[in-house]
Amino acid sequence: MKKYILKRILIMIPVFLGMTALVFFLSNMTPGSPVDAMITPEMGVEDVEQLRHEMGLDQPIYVQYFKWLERLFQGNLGYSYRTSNPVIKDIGERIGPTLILTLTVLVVSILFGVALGVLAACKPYSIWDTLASGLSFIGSSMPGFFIALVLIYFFSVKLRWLPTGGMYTSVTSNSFSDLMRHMVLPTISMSLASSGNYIRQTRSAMLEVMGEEYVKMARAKGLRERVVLYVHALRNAMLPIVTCIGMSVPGLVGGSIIIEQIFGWPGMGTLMVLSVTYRDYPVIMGITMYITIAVLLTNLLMDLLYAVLDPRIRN
Amino acid sequence: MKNHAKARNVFFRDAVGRFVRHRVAMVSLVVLVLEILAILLLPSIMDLDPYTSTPGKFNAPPDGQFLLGTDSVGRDVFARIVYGGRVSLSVGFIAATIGALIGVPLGLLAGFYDGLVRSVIMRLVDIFMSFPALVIQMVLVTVLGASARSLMLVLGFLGWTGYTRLVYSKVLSVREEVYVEAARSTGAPNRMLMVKYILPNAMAPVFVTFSFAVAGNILAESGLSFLGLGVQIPTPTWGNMIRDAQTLSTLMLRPWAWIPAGIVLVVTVVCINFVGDGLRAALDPKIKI
Amino acid sequence: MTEETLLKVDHLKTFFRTKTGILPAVNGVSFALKRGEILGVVGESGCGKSVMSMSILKLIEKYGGKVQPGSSVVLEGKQLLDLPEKKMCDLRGKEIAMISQDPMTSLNPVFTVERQMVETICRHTDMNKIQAREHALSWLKKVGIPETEKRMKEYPHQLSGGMCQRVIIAMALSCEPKVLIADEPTTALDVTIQAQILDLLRKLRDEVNAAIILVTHDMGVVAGMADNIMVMYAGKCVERGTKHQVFKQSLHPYTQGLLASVPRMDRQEDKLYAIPGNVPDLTQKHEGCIFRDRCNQCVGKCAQAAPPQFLVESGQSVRCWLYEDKAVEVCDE
Repeated sequence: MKKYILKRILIMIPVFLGMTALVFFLSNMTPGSPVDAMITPEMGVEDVEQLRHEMGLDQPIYVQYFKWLERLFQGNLGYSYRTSNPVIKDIGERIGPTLILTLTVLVVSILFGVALGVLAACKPYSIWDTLASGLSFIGSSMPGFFIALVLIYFFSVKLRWLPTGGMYTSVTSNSFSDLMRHMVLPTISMSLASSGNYIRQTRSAMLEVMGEEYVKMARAKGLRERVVLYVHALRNAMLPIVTCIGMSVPGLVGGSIIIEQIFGWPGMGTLMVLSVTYRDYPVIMGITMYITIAVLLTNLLMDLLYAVLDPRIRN
Repeated sequence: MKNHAKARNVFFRDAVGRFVRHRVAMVSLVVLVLEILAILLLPSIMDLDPYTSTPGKFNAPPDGQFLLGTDSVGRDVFARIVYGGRVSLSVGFIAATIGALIGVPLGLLAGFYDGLVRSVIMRLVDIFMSFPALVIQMVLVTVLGASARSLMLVLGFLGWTGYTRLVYSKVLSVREEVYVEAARSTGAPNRMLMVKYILPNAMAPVFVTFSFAVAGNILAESGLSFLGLGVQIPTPTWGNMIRDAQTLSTLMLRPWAWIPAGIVLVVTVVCINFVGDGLRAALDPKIKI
Repeated sequence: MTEETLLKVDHLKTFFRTKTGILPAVNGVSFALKRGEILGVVGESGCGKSVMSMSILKLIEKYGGKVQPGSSVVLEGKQLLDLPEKKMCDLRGKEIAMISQDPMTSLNPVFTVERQMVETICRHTDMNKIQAREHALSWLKKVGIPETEKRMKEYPHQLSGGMCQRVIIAMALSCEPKVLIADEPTTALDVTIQAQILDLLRKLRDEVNAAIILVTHDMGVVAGMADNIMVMYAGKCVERGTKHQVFKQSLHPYTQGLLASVPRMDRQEDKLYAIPGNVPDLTQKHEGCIFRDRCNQCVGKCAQAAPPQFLVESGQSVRCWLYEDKAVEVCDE
């Protein structure tokens, strides 16, 4: 088990370096260097060179990259061009709301997707199956922003049941029920897309597992169909589902950017869009780094979960 | 070798048969063909103009002159949907083609050569796949400047991983086939083995991935345009038309300005995905996207 | 051994609907099984042996098959085919247990041996978990698993194929079933292990006094084990008799072919005999005897009509026109 975890962590290192390198070189492609912003008319060529030297920009790009990594590990992500705050502070304020929303969506869509997927697999080619497959197909073909707008149109504008956006009605009302009311529409719009994937994966995993010899044996042992399905089959089908969950996290993060923007959710997504429009590169890089780490951590978590579920990996 | 080519023809004939019997996929294909014809032909038939404002006709609801009304600056919404389709579909198709041009050779190489080549390529796939695509797309589009052309490039250059992953796993099984062994034993060089013997038999996942990639790219384009980071006004796309609904008055009072564009977008993506599903059922049901 | 009939199967017909038509996988099989008897069911793969086993357990519908009305499976006077699913479910594993072909995949990979055994025992007895565990332990010892305590906590992938099969046998017999269906119990195992497993089955049969339906494609397996033998071809029983009858004077050309294709140590042979041709496509309609295409002793009548089952001498019957004259009685159809 220890060996397995160690191996997974070691595999993460090249992925981490690769992803950070990608981010670093991308931001280096941006037109204009950070020095340009500091040049004043009275500076001579030597002064500019001096400044470049001080900032390490005259060094080879890979040296710059490792220097940047070093600062990164010290928690120094630079300062926002837009607000002049430390990037880490601007991001810090936004992590909470984003986590609340994405985790809720993750839980809701997994529960919904797995339940429907199992239902579809139990009675293949029945009305439930058609319904689940259809829903999963439409769900993953619908752009989240259009769903969100349609939901706002009906539930907020026409029926006036739910708020159109934001996290709380006002600064003073930060009750849990108020938060819930604000979360309903963003959660539904995002979950519809991501649960489609889980429905499909669960259905095919369940169908595959149900053809296995041990399911036949479990039935021949006289176990009730309920036990066969939900204990013997689903437990095995969870393995590919967990992999699928791990792989869906990047998409979820991407989806949250658009949804946060529509609902004015005060999270990292809105900050990202804002920073991109302002070309606030330190913040963009900071957010990207945060996402990288979050994705890697979820991957590790999924690997661990996989090991817990599958004894063949454990020993 | 002739037999082998013949077997392939039989396979494709059967596959076409299976696709035609896939009713949903066939209906979707018909819808898509009609849509493409409409996008190509309607502008000249109906003399559509998506750019010019009609004075005094701002935010007009649908009427005889404007089928779907006008937007906030008095442009014909129907014309914009038709022209927007040109942009959205061409971004989708061209980006998917670029993705295939990069991803297929990489998948072929990774499947054919063991060792370092495979590790590097597949690790790259891991890196790209574990990254939220939208984030890189946003950054890159900003760097390159927001336009339909840079969207094609960005979506294409980021969209190769699906091809690589599927071609790779297909090549792994194809390269063990007897006819490849036979060709190898006659001394055929690696390049010829890959291009002439392995690639044609690893094409099924490419077609399937291509159709899903077109749908994915159209969604990504509309998402970015919706955020205002993609195709810029006045060039219409479905995404930036729906963006109008970000203002509450359009959302509430002028549904014609955004709902039709959204419906066309959804129908298009659903149809392309169904065609992709039909292709998968026809070519190789085991392909998992 | 009492002579009473324990399980009686009559005109069992099971079919599958496929794209190319209806596939009668089991096409009118009848046999009776006495308490403690071992019946060897022999045939090539695809002849309907496994479908027959699954039909007796009434599990075939879960796998797309359908038992035709008019079939009958009677266990101690109970008509199983009329039993509601709930009752049938209680009966599976308790009165009729099954051992499957591939021991390595027949145990659930994510549960320990202990959990899978205890679960079975608790399902069919009044034992609590602790008693069930003790019971499981004693059965694992009986099937010859060393270091039982340790093995019980292990997962299937940590066991060898032979060990898995022993666990499955222990699990199947732990509720002392009256009938044990062993579907190719040794096919997936090494030859040395095969003999051990067969010995074990025979020994435990004596202990529990269960009747065994031993399904196999291997004449060698039934030679050592079975009391009676039923040879199946294309969903039908083509020959039936005691082991002695079938081995010493096999009647049906197919049985003769099967016997000839068993390698013999006591004879010098240059080439192993193989029955020519393949199992026919059952979705197609066949005129005459279904074995005709592969038979080397065809007579004119074979092409005209399918032969009925001829009872040739006490206990031995055969479905072949060659024995029409010698028949004492025509059994069915």
